[in-house]
Amino acid sequence: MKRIINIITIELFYILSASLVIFTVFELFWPRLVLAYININLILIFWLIIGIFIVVNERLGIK
Amino acid sequence: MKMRIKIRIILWLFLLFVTIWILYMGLVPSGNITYSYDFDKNNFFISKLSPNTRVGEIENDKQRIIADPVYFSLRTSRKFNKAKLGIYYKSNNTDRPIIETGVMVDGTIWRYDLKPVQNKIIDELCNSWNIIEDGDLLFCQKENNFSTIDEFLISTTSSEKIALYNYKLDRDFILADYSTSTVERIIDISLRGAYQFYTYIKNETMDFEFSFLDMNNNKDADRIDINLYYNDLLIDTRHLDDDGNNLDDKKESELRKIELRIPNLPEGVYKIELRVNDDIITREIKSKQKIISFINKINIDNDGTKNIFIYTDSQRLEATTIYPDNLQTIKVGNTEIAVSESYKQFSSVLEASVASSGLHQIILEKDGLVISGNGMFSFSEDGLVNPKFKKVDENLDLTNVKLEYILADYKSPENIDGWNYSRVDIDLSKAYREDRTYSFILSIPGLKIDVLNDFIEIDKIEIELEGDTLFDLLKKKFD
Repeated sequence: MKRIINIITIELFYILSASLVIFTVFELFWPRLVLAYININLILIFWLIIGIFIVVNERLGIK
Repeated sequence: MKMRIKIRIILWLFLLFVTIWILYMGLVPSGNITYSYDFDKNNFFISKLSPNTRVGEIENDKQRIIADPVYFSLRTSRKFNKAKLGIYYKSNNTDRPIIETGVMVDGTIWRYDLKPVQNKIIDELCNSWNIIEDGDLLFCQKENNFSTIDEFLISTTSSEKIALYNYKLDRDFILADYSTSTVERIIDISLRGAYQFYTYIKNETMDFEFSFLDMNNNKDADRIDINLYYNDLLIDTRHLDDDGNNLDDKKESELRKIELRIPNLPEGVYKIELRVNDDIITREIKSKQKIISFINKINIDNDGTKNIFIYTDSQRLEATTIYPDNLQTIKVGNTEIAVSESYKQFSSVLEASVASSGLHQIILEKDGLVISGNGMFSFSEDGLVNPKFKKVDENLDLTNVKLEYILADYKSPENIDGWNYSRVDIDLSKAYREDRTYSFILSIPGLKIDVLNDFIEIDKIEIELEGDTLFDLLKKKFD
């Protein structure tokens, strides 16, 4: 179960990283295209939480 | 397949789907999209009504308009050509007959192209007259003299018998008793900002010399554009760039001049439009033209001029000053309008003029006032003409027995579930769009915050947009 959660969180982290890059590039070249439908701040917060979770999880795993 | 790969494929497909969906919503490949705002929560595309001082709080997903005018904006990802603006509203406790809406077409002088939402005068008058409808055109006649609208249009019915609304009737305006003048006329009363006026040409050279000052009160570059129109077509322009000082240091520029001398123009009425911001002062207008009729408004700058005489055919007069030192009482015949507070509009309906010309003489003690109304304004009695047809608005004199015909591009509102619903077609191809946003106005002339506590309640705004398809856009790009 722990392994599945690890896989999901890592894959989520990758996909959220990619989303942030894609959406930011969209916003740079076409302002408000993404913001009209999606709150990038929320994606950033979610990405950060998952990132922290992965780091903490890995540290606990090493110990 | 490994679980990691399965999860990865699902997530990446989801991101691909979201990305394609966002691009689809942004590009609007079909060219058609509808946005609506029903006041239940903030809407990204259609803004709230503003300013806050002219609207009530949003209650039960409805908002009240308590003073005129109010504005809202529409954010779009791309340009569109047309909008069908649907408004669900109720007129509560108000007898305001006119509601209009429109899009901003000129960002410099904040000009909106207004279209009718409701005109109770037409609704009530046409109820008892004979009606002919042809598409969106509505023709009402007191007596049944014409069987079709085309028959009326080709007739030579006197303009005194006709009132129009949201319709331009193409007819040449000729002054039979006009004679040319070689005397140079000088308007040396300083005018602030933009204005429009009519002049008349008959076998003479159009001859104007404008002198401008740039006050540099704001940071924008202060361009000066003069446009000349004949039959609503732009036929000539003059331009002056900014004085070179685009700071807000309040340093007055040198006096700069624009000449508008055009020979061999056909006889008729010409409209001259000055497109500037309020940093520009017209210090002087020199002209050999007899007729100079300012359209609806004059903004007289505050430079110490006293006892100013203005003539008008307006039936209603409004006055505002932003200068506390220029509070005064305006005299118009027996009517007096006390401008007793700055930044507040004072208005009065004018009694019928007793002068042979039918014009009112406005006497200002001091300058520094914005004078506006529903007619023309001139600094000389013989310099005023009004080539416009009567308009069916709140100022139309319904006791005028001469009025026999109304021609309007107008459809009465429908009743849907107890709400009035009007759909207005708006041309967006010439609309002003800044920061991917169109600006709209909702105008209810005469609605103000007073003891009547009257208001218009808005339930929903729906905007159906039409534009080029993605294929058309690509075709235009690569043609």
